[in-house]
Amino acid sequence: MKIIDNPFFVLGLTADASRIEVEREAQKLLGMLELDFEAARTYDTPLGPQLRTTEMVRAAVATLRDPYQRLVAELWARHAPPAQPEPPPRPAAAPTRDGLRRALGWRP
Amino acid sequence: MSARLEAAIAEGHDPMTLVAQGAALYAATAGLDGRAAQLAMPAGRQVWLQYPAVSSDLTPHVVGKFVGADPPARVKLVRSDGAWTSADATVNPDGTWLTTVSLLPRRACTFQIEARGAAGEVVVVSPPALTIVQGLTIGDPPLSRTLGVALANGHVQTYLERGAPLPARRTFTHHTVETVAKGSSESVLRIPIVQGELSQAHLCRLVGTLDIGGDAVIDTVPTGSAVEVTIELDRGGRLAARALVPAIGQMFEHVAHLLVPDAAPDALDAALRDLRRQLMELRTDAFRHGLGHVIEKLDRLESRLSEAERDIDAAHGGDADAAQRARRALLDVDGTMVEADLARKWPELDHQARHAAISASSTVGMYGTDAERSLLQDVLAAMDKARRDKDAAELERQMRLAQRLSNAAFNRTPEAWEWYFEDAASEISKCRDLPAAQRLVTEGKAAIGRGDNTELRRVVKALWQLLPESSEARKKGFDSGVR
Repeated sequence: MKIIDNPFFVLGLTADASRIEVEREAQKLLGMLELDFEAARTYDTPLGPQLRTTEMVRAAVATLRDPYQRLVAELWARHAPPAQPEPPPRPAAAPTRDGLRRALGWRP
Repeated sequence: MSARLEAAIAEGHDPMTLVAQGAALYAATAGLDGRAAQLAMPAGRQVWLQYPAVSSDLTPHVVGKFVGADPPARVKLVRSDGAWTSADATVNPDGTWLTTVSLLPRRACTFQIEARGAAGEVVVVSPPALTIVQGLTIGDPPLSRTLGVALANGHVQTYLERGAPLPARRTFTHHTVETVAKGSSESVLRIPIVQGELSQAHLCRLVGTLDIGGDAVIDTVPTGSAVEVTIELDRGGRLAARALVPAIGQMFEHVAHLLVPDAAPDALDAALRDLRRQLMELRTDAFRHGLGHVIEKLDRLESRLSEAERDIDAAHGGDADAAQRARRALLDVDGTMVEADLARKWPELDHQARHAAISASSTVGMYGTDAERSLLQDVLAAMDKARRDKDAAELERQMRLAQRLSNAAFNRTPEAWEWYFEDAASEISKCRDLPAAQRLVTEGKAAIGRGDNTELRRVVKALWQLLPESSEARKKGFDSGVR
């Protein structure tokens, strides 16, 4: 399981959330995503904000319904670094020359 | 009876249909007002609402959004019994708001929506109320069996695991292993979609195929091109697959076989045809290999399919109960066929497991550490248990563990990568890019001369990328054209 896909991060809950809190939060988020709420579009992770989709919310709540998978998710969520407001900076890209790829016969 | 009634007795009518027709005739004579209520034009500010129609939670969320500019400032919900009112929810500038409501246990509760403007004036909204029933709810239906794409090496890339909530969608990027020549109808790249719990494609069931044909592409797709495959399943289990080829910017779509038969008569017809064909294939194969226990499992299915066929005929006539009965029967038949299919493939899997156990014992015995030997004993014991339980998925998982232990022990020997290199170099003539392969072989020989194992490993891995998948593996992967 990737840290950015951790169901607790997707649902915006702490690892202590009860089963009913998980279900309520998922129901709320699905409604908000359906009505295109700005606040529901992204969620915070240690690697910066990520895009949230209805499929991810459904998958997250299904994962947390399984006791074993929930245990694994809790373990990672409890020991994860704090959420970052911005994604980490990308490594500096190698210098490019406009038109070089096309001149060499590559597709753009 | 016919003589006593002095009337001919009709045959072939479904009892449920007759009861329904009787009820309809009675209702027609009962003087009920069956006219549809006149549709009222919506009055007031339109609001989109999202809330659960049925909720096991006593305090579910209600999410809303006002349509248009200049929305009201506040919203509150008042339960129709007057005993509860929500706190004022602030409406955001984009018209969105969020609140919770309090339900009465095991009752239907209606809430009036009261909206007010910035000056406190009442704003009429449409719809003016919403109803939520408190009670048990059924969650998203789960996927019954794992779904994936068969690869050219005969393995399966899993897309959606068994138990995944529906609807679901997932995308992976693959690469083509052959060129699709523009304009050539014979040049077709297949992307087989399979269902099953095993990682070897030929042990799973083929449920659909995405074809990228030479006559459909707008430009030639060279070997190694990326293909983004998306598999999407709706709540009824209908599968839609899409393949995007970014190199030519073209999308290929296909609605594959139905995984769960829909109760629509046409869908039931398609599912019945599909199951009949698969049953015939299974039976032929079982007879050919003399698998008595498989034939026994399949024996009862034909009569169940005939029953389902009668129900589907009734469904075409508008009998919804018959449609549901047919749907359940087809699901039962499908489940039995999966069991029979696995029983048919079991001897092959069992043989592979024995081979993997012997091979791992030999390698780990010779090159393994004490810890690896101890781990292998655990794995072999788990393999024995899985074989006794006829648990194919677990047996395959343990086989993979045994192979990994075996590889780990073997790769520790100093000569391992030299042997891999010699093996790959002996097949250089089959490589996709011969000049690159020759260059790599030269580099590999130099690395062996220097005793540079790190460089040798890089060369071998690069050579493996240039080697085509074996024709046997591709056959097992349903002639898949992607890796």
